[in-house]
Amino acid sequence: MSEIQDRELKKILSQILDELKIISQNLISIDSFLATSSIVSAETTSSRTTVSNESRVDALTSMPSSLDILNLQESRPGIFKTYKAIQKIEDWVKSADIASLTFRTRGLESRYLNYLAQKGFVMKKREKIDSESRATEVWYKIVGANS
Amino acid sequence: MGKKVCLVDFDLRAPSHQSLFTSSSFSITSAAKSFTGFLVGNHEPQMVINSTDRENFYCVFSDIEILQRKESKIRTKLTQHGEGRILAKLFEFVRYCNTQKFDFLIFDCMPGITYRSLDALVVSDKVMVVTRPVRSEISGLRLVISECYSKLEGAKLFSIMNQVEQQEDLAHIPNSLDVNLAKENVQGITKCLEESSVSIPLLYTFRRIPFVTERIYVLDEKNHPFTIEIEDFCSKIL
Repeated sequence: MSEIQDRELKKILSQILDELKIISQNLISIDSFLATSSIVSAETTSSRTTVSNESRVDALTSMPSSLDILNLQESRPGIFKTYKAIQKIEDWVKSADIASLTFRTRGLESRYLNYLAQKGFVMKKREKIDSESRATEVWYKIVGANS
Repeated sequence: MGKKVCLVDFDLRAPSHQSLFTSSSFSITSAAKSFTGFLVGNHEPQMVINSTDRENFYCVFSDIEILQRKESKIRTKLTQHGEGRILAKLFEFVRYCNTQKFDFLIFDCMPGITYRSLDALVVSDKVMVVTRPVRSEISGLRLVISECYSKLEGAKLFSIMNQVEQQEDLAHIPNSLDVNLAKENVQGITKCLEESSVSIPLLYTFRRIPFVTERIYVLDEKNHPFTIEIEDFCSKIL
């Protein structure tokens, strides 16, 4: 094989290698997207829960970062303490549980938790109390990476 | 029996703990998976904690593949994983450590402010701000205090100053301009901390000590001036 042919071949191989790298990167991003989609679809197919599916899907697809939380503290001073407290518990909790951790009133924690739920930082559900006909309890839960 | 401590190498871009610990008189008694792998969802939290030959001391290493290979798969996965999900995983790790009754969980962050160092700030109860008497550090510190540290409600903040020229070292510097600059920078950092909107007391000032190796001096050189300073510092914070 002549030197020119050899150089040409090397050039083509290098182009193929570059193309393969791009394909590999695209496959990884598709894989990552599918992983997220499966979490979301698993959440939406659950029919038993009383949690608003729409808000849960939103919470999972746009999980807030540390910068979002720090910005939230700027607009709602005091909310960071509530966020840190709920992050200590993996299960569903009531605002009274958080109040016992932050040593603040239940009403204040309830207001902060509702705001966190509204912004997608936590999940929220309402459950009927069996003994009372119309009364309901509000529960909150962190949005985990594998929620 | 000392406190149960876990040290996490949270410098994901340039992990160094693995090489530090292997070059010292220190041995890892169990080979765990990488913390980076845990953050991207490959491993469970219990799989990433290394036990050591020191009682109650555990360490967690980040993936060094990031340093070794230009086309690192874990790096790609980490960048595509989503900032929010990494923070959620970090909280998951903290919750796991709480169940394992760790007294201290220490995150060694990368220098500067990045998403990862912000994540560590958000999950921590106490934040140690490490500063150096350099002019660029003074303006940077002022910005970080107002933008980040002031928002960490409930977290206890304190600072240390590293690599400070001592009076006897300054005597060897030939140019008086350099001596004045060194003194001004120390004063600048101190003033910046004193005038900040949140309380960040300066707990300790470490002097500049020229190191020749990457060994852990507190483990290998019990009588080294740096070891003595660290012991003095620990007695102040504990």
